[in-house]
Amino acid sequence: MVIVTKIRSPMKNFKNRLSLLILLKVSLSIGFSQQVLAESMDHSQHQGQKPAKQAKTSCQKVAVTCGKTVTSAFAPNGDLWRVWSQQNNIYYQISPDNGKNFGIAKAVAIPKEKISARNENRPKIAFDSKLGVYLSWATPREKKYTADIRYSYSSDYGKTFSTPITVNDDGLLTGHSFNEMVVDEEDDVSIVWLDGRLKQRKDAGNGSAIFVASGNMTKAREQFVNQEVVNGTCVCCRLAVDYNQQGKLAILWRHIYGDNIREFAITTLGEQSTPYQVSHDHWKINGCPHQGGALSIAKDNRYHMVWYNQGDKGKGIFYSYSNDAGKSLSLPIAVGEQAAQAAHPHMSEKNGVIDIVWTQFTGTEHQLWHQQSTDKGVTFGSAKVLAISTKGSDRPFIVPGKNNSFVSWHRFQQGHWLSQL
Amino acid sequence: MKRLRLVKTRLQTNGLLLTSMLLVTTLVMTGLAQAEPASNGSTAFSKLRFEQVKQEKKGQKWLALLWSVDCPPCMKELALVQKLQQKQQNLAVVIINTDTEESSEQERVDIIKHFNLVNLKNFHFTQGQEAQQRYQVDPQWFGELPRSYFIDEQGKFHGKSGLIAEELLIQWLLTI
Repeated sequence: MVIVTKIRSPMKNFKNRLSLLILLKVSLSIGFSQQVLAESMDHSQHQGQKPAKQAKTSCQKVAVTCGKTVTSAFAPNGDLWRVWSQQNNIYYQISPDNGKNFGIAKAVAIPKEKISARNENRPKIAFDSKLGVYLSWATPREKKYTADIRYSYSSDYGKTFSTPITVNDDGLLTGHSFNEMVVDEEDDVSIVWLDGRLKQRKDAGNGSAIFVASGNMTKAREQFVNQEVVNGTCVCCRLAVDYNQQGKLAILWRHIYGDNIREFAITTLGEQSTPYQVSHDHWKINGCPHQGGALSIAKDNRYHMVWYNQGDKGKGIFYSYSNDAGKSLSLPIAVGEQAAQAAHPHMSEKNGVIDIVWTQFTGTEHQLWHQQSTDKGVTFGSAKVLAISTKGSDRPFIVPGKNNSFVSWHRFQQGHWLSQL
Repeated sequence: MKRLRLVKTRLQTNGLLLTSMLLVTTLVMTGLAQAEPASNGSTAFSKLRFEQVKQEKKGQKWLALLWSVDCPPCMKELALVQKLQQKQQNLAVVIINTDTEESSEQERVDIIKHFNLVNLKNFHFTQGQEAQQRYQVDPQWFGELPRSYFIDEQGKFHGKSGLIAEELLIQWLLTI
């Protein structure tokens, strides 16, 4: 401040004011990012300040900053993996210290192919108890809105990967996308996705279908037999999956009810024949919300859920839990500020603590928000801003670790941000 | 240049005024730079350009249609606009593409060509600015698509998400 008042030259004065403004902004950023753990040894992460044109050229090299999306997961040995897509490859980096430092980026050793990685669509990674690494992704086909679900497995912790296979077994040139993947304690891997094959049927209704396929890399059995779960889903919103305490897979998705009423629905495979409707916000839209929900099932089998709607009965983000697999729900709690464009919620439960993250937008700045419940979802503490971005914002995700949960947020040109919650 | 010189003169006399004037000048110049049409018949969206369009169209009913290559129902709405255009030339429609990925640039161009909508005013959002530009169009809009704005003679925006019924488009856009 002293310097500014002593400067006589107006131009210098202006420059200093500008510097001061930048300094203030930087200080603010540092204030917000005290918990930053995720900056890589790769210095490309620090190029966040560069203008868009320069960033375009710099993204010819391999760096997480160049990925449009980032997916993170902890391996059973405590390593944190992150994967992204670039130049028709899937790249991964491993952090031994909860994201403080990452090793060099390595390409998954499979032939190059197109990888869907934007908005709700992105590669997925999972692990089994023997440190097997599972990858799945969607690869676009030659016709618009067509893709295949792809899968590869590594039994040597990423050194080699199996030749990718196409999981959808219909052989049709149609939509297969928005894949989710989980591995259970028996090392069974399950992949669920949105599937367009039923559109070929004469009685096909509106929307897509959900299909599921399971496999086991250590047991000799028929792998990835496709099974239909439900028809008539939204075509552009991600799915959410988790295992319940009976080891059954539960799926939460945006369904199309009646005349384009888009509401969330849930089903637990093998436990029910008809899905339960979760939300009742009455969002009528013959379009693409591009916003799925999140599901996390606790050890007491309580299903925790978040979703987003813009219906005439409910607008914004909502949290609710169910003690009977979605048949009845707690009164939904509104999360975030609707007027500040609260959107893209994600949520995870761990040891009775529920963390919800979402983004808001002020008109100039993206904000990552967090709210936590320590009483199994009955009450929540106040919402807090964790980080900001001025250039762009990928969807935030909670990544459960061995003892704690972390939030993963990728920001255009600013890199991948991780923080313990 | 004259404007710049004027700004510079004032800079030397009034430091406070200087800061704001320079910023305004920069903003205007940036706006003008962005106003240059991009290739393939689509212009990079900017607040200034959009304001200009709003001013140009004041006094008439028009439609702003926002779409993405990732949105199947958007294709249906673009097809409806194409159908209406065959009935009436010079439809009062402004098309705004919300994709900013390099990978979707060619798709955007191909789709607009496919629907013969090159003659309409086409904008596209710019990388890293998609949220800002969405907010500039409408702070109440969350990005769901297709998004249509029916803008009346007074310049008032009536936003609707999802595919619009053909009858409504005919009613709003056809004057013959």
